[in-house]
Amino acid sequence: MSHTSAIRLAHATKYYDRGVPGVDNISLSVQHRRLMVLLGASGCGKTSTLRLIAGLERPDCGEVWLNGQCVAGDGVWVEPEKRNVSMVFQDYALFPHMSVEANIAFALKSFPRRARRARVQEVLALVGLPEMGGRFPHQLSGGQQQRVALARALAPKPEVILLDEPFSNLDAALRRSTREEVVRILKHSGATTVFVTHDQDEALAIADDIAMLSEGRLLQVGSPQDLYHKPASKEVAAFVGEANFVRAVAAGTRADSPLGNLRLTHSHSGAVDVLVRPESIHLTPEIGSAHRVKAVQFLGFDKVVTIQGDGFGPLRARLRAHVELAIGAEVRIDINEALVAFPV
Amino acid sequence: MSERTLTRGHWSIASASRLRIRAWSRGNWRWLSLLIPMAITAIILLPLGYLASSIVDPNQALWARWWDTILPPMLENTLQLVLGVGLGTLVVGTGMAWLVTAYEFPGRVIFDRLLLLPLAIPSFILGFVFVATFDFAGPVQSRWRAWFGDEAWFPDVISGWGLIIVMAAVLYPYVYILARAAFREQSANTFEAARVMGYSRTQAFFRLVLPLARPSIAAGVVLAMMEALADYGTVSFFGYPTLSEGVVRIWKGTFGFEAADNAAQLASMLMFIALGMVVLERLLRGRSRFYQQGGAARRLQRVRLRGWRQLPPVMLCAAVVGFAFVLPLAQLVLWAYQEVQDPQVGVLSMDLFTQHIKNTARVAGIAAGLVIGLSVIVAHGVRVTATGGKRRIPRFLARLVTLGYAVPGAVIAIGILLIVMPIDHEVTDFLETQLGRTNPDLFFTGTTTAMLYAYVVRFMAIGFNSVDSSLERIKPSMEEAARTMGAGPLRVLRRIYLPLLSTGIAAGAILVFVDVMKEIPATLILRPPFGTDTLALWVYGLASEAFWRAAAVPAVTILAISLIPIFLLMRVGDRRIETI
Repeated sequence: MSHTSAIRLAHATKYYDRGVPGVDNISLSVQHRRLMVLLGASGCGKTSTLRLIAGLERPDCGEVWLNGQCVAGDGVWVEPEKRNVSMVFQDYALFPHMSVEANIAFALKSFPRRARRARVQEVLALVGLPEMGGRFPHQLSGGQQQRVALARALAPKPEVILLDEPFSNLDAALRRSTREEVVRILKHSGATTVFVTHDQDEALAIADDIAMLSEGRLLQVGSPQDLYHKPASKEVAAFVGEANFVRAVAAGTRADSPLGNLRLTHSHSGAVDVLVRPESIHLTPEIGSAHRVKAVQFLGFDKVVTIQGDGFGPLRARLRAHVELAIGAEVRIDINEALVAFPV
Repeated sequence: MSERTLTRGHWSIASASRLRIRAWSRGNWRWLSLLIPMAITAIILLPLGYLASSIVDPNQALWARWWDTILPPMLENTLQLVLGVGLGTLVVGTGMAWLVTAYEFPGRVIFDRLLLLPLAIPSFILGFVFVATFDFAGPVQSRWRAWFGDEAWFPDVISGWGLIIVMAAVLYPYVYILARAAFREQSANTFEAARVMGYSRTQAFFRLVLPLARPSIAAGVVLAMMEALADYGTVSFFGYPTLSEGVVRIWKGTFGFEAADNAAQLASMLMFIALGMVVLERLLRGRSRFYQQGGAARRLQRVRLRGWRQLPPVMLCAAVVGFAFVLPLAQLVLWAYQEVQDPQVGVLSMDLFTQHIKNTARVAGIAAGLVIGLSVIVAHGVRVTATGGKRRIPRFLARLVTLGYAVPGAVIAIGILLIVMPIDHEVTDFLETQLGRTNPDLFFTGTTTAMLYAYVVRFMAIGFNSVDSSLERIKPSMEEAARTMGAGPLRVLRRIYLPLLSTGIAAGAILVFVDVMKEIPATLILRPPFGTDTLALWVYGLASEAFWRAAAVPAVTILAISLIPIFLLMRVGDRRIETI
């Protein structure tokens, strides 16, 4: 094989204590220098998958490959300290008895002693904390601790960096700015990155690729656009972005629904659930229509209008804020693009 | 490559069997790492279990005789002492804690610390100072008679009441520490809500603050009551027979095998009372572990006292600290000074003094090392096995291994005697008949081994709790982070675990050392027949013979060493424990 991926899981499986699979037969590759997000609700196995890559868990079955070398499975086991993998923990796991410098220097075991100081200063500057080396973790704010944890992970120039919900302890305002900064630094470092989150907005914003997990199983891997526009299942569609599902009867690439005759991306036959993203819906006031505006939620740039219609549940539509629609108004619904449908 | 493909083809079969092996080995590994902790626990519980079994076959004739003679007064005295000390520490400890938490008065910050100091005075030391001072021949009564004539009435202070006052004076800090922490934890919001609803400060204290702090206060009171139940030295100075004192007296008053057997009868009864108090404490705390909502809330605003109102709290604090610490310390220092300046012949010598110090340091040092070593093993075993939903067995083990703290030292000593005496005789027989050795030392009772065993049983809880709580501060992710950074298990142990545990280990070792140094009943029963006593036994021996001045010298030494953990405690109180 001339082309090897940076990380490869083959049928990786990890059982929890009572025989419940935490990671259930996951096969996944991450290409060099890419940023992959493992996305899923809590308890879906994304953190366990990350820990399998780091070597903090042993797979019960299957294999883990790093850089074309098998590190776990089939009688092979490489300890975490031998994997050249860095990890940023959800609680940062900074050592409370060491200064920031000592924390980072701890990661530089393989560096020649004389090069360590320079490298510590270099990564501290990279994360924007050049003056903080002498402080202790408890003297730093949450955001600063987060950046020290990142600096510590970057310091040994690892081939792979794993991040376990690194922003979940930051408040919303700090999170966005930190996130952009961190992604810039990660990209610049050239490491292959796996990033765990349950926040789909975060995933869509930063990922090169997203792997969507649920109950230990891999549902879909693809670019953010793929997951959003071509979800492989209803579950993925509902988790990534906002989704309306409308029951319809399909015949080829057309389907009959309470919203009228809809165009489908693929041909189906029989009962299907059609995915309608809120932004695909166009509303026009029309006296006598069976569809009425039930609620309007103003969001600034745009607004979400909830429509109660004949034959379907509440439908959420996203419109530009200047479109005037009063509650109770009768509206016509138009959908122009081809839609994804899932057989029922 | 083809081989691998093949494996993958048979994935389900291969995985199923491999999985079963993994699960099996993981389950056994769990038990294996609990095996040594379990063995340690068993050894620690052995003397208690042995005693418990002795009550299955009670000596009917003995009990009948006791019921007619010594038992009723002993039971009555014990009950009176334990309840009196409970009530006394409850009132003083809670009252002082509320005073320094809710009011601002001159010297409050200093008194807040000084109120901890009586913890450094072992009750038998305050006891003998009290007896020496207020006894018929003591300075107070002599002065009294000189002023009011020989027939002048003087309250009988060398009695149950005097004893309760002395013990409550040194034991109230248990309640004070826990109550103060509980009051500080409480958010001001609940208190202020009650005020807004029309309750006065006092009403709010009794209806709200006190009930909320109840679990902590109850824990402190029961701890003080356990100490009173276990005390031997103080009650014997007061000539006040209690159950603990009775165990030692019966053991001393009879000979040979029968001594331990008879004492065991009473000791097992005392043990069940002590364990009953553990249950009582659990019940008092029970489900009523209250949590305050809303995290780090505002602290209670202290009321600044003005004018004459500043006087009562200052005087109260000064009286408590004065009676329980300053005055007895001054008296002891004075006596020690007099003794050094003008030594009584044949009582004290520099040689004897250094011998006792060396012996105490050796015994207490070994005991502290043993306790901490065993604690690290057990705490680590508990920690690595208590994962996920399987916490019950390891946690239960942790509770068992610390049970000895509730049991009086005299009881533990008798339990150990029952076990080791037959072994000693077997070993001695073997040495004499098979190896032809003449008069070998008895392995357990002829050396300090039995004593050390008793210390481990009695003080395991102290070491375990310090080690366990500092282990708790090390998050699993810290070890994992270190490993992803290329640190092997040894480096993790050296750079992460040991530095973070060292405070807990040092604190635990000091606490155990000090407690061993102060211990009397178990040491008295298990000390080897030849050799030097510990400082505490020396004080006890000298004070029993009314050599007050001589007794003051080792007593001051004990006090000085006992102050070390108190100062550590004060520092911990100052600094919020640094966690991320």
